[in-house]
Amino acid sequence: MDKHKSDILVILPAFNEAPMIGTVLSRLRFIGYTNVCVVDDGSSDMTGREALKYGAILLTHPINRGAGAAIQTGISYAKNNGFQHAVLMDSDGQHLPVDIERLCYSMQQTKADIVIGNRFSSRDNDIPDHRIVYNYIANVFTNIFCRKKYLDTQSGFRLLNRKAIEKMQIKNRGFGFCSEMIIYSERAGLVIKETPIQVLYTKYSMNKGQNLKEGIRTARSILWRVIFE
Amino acid sequence: MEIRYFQIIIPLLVAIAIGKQIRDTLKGKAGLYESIIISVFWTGVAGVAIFPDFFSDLIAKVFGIKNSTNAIIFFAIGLLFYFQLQIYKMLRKQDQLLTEISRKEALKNVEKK
Repeated sequence: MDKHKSDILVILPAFNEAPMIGTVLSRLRFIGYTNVCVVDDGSSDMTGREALKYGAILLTHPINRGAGAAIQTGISYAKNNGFQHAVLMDSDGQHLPVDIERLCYSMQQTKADIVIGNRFSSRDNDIPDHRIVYNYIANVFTNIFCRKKYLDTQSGFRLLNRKAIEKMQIKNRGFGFCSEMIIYSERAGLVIKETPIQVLYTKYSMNKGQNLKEGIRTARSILWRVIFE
Repeated sequence: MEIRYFQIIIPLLVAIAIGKQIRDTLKGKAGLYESIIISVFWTGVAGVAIFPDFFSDLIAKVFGIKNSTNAIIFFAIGLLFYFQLQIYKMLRKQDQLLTEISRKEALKNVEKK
């Protein structure tokens, strides 16, 4: 797999993640992922400086545009620089870099274009109840617009192959990109699979991520795109 | 029953929209549930256009509006809805432009140690 690692660009969208970004980058480097791109989404803390200190490629949004915008910036970078695979991960440390291997293995086995890390397949993942409820509602809503049924539509841990990198055009600039990526990738003829991953919910990571307000915004944005665009 | 122009034009436009949706579904570009939701929405629009008096009376009963003022109220509500839609569309476009500029700026100024 080492040969594989040089083909992979790990994309970390980051907004005010200075306390954690160094740890995440160290973990990735420790297991051999050297192509790591941090998209600093207009942070007001030292996120960018920390990312550079730990050897990441740094892309900086001058103002905060949201996770979806940051992800698309990272994907564009992967596309422009010829990377064969892109891994999307959260910067708050909830995803384990060792699980990248799982995603790669699943992609190899299933010939999928996108592999999504499914947090709900493992009972070891101590997912807070309100997150389970929120994700369930988001799954039901997203699956309405999909041909297949997905178990974790809101997972930010994903692996994309070159075909997916080239076709990806995320318009939703917020967390709604998770649903949008699935819905529009299916329409573009990309094959999507899910594979179990582990997650670490800490006090720090619980303060990040999606909430009800963001969920409503996502629903509104998807409905708008489906009906009017 | 007197037939007015909009009672023909709107259902025709709805038929085109639903036809397009069916074509997208058959081509696999749109999901079944999504197509059902969209088709129900457009069928509702056609329904209101074909039977305006029925819906006028229904809304009048629900909201307690007198029949004689229905047309003006509906027109005003429709106009407000249209303006709001246009403003929201413009806002979305501006927002997307801002994101595009930020993304281009970020890709232009890549930093490496």
